[in-house]
Amino acid sequence: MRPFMAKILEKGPLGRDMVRFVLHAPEAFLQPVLPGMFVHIKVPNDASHILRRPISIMDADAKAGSITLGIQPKGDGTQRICTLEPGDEMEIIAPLGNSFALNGAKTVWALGGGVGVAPMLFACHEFSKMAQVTAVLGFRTAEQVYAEGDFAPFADLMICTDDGCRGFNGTVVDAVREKLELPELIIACGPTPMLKAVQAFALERDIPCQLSLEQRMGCGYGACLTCSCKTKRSDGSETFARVCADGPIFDAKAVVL
Amino acid sequence: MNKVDLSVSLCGVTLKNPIIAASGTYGFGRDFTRFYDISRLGGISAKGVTPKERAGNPPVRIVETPSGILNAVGLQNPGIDAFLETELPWMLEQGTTVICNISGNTIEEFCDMARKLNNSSVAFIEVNVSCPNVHAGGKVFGSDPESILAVTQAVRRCTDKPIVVKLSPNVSDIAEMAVAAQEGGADAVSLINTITGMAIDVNTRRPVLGNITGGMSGPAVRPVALRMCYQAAQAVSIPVVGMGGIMTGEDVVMFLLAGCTAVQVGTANLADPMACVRIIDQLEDYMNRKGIKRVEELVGALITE
Ligand SMILES: Cc1cc2nc3c(=O)[nH]c(=O)nc-3n(C[C@H](O)[C@H](O)[C@H](O)COP(=O)(O)OP(=O)(O)OC[C@H]3O[C@@H](n4cnc5c(N)ncnc54)[C@H](O)[C@@H]3O)c2cc1C
Ligand SMILES: Cc1cc2nc3c(=O)[nH]c(=O)nc-3n(C[C@H](O)[C@H](O)[C@H](O)COP(=O)(O)O)c2cc1C
Ligand code: FES
Repeated sequence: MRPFMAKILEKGPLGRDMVRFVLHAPEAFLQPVLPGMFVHIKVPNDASHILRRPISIMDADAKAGSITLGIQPKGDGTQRICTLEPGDEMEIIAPLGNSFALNGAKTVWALGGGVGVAPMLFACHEFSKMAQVTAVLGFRTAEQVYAEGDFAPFADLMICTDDGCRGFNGTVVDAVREKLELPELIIACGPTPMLKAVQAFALERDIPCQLSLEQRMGCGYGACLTCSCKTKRSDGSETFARVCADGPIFDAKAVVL
Repeated sequence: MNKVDLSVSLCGVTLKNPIIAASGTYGFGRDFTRFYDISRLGGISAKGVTPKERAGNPPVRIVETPSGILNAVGLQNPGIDAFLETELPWMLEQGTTVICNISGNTIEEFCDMARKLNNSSVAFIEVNVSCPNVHAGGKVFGSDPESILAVTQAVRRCTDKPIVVKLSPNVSDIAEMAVAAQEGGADAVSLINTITGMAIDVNTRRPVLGNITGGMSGPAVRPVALRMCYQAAQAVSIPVVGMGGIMTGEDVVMFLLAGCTAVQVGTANLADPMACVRIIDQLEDYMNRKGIKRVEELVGALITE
């Protein structure tokens, strides 16, 4: 595995607040590219931002050798990345991290919140080949909703907004609490309060659940121990795990949020 | 065309080149084997170990600053016994020089670890008296010459291995610290460790790091590190291993010219997993361009008049 230059094939808006990029990244597919994994992007044309930026793989096409990303230009680094145009290249390391695992489940809830909706698309795309997937996607308001059309072929879709402007009025967890059929697996990515609520729900109903965590990262591949999160060992004692290499996906039973 | 001689002799141990991966930024090397053959390195300074397993500091543990980073890992490590049992045997098989970096809260802790390492096959013991992220009774050993002298002398009595004392830049007179290490019986000194710093999130009005303060490293600290290495090399007769913000082969040349026998590369590994091997290639390229046959010719070859 090597950092490599990935040419930008397409760029476009994703809802009001995000940018969608399609990259030509055949080198990434020297290893399996699986849902939940991320790419680590170098901030372009700038020696003063020395750390890379972790961004989830929103979708991947092994045949075309392409990867789709959804990036929210938030701080200085992601803003610079989002100034890149089709034809430009991003320097990336990919694919990094572990992945969501279906583990034979026949029914899945894919719960995404905000930027955390992005990796759910790839998961729905893959898991829909073997399971019945319901995607429940939460946004603050209607203008932020993105990728609905992308999800449609792979999942039953439920949109939630905090302000009730679109779909279910409330959080993703409020929405699933009202659903009747419990799934055999829950996967989720989103802000920590959402993940906490999903974790509590899954533990309470005893449903296998995998959560995708975010943490500030240095290297992105396991060497620096800066991306730690608290996890529980089987004997109940607490320890730290690396979000970049042991995660970003953790079993809801093992992670302390 | 590999005609230049990159090897250096450090306290009687031959390194195949002067590039050592810096402690804490390279783990035990395992994570880099998927990127390149790590036998190419001059050496690896392993992640700092302590007498017992340490969980480290609560997140957030890293934040980017202009041309640098602040980290507050807090010496997360499996403890010296686990290092000896599971990490070291693997490291020794990789075909590069292994340095064990140790951190203690008391002189006795340093000595216990040095004794255990004496029977192992590590090439050097790097005595870290300078980690800013752990607090031993409110102060770090590396902040005054008396404690550096005392720790070095004590470790010296516990091991026959070459000892490299890793100095803190958070002092007013670095030369005095280097001299104290030499007087205590150190075979070499290494510097700099990170410079204590802080970052504040103006939206939340909170410190960004879980530990409030952290250690600064990366290109932003390079001029300070270079100055300190120069001053230390002027003050002592033992070798100086330099580090702080090295990102390229030419950065290495600066540290060699300032008087360092070898260098360590830290933060660059985080920005670019290929950093160490790229830097070795760049150093070789510089020597070819300048017609320099042996890298040791560069050591201390700074022209000041
Ligand atoms: C595994 C993973 C997957 C992610 N996937 C996506 C995604 O698909 N789309 C998306 O828009 N965002 C994603 N993020 C969040 C994204 O990485 C941050 O928003 C981004 O790093 C912020 O960088 P910046 O330059 O905009 O902010 P700045 O505040 O300028 O960055 C300063 C430093 O803080 C780090 N940092 C700041 N916020 C975060 C954060 N939330 N997570 C990690 N590091 C942070 C930056 O990497 C940088 O080192 C993901 C984060 C992780 C850990
Ligand atoms: C994430 C991180 C962890 C570190 N851990 C250690 C450590 O365990 N022991 C130690 O002696 N130095 C540690 N250091 C300091 C580095 O070894 C080095 O002295 C410092 O980062 C300066 O070099 P650089 O600018 O090339 O990174 C750490 C640095 C970083 C960035
Ligand atoms: S970011 Fe370096 S270990 Fe995870």
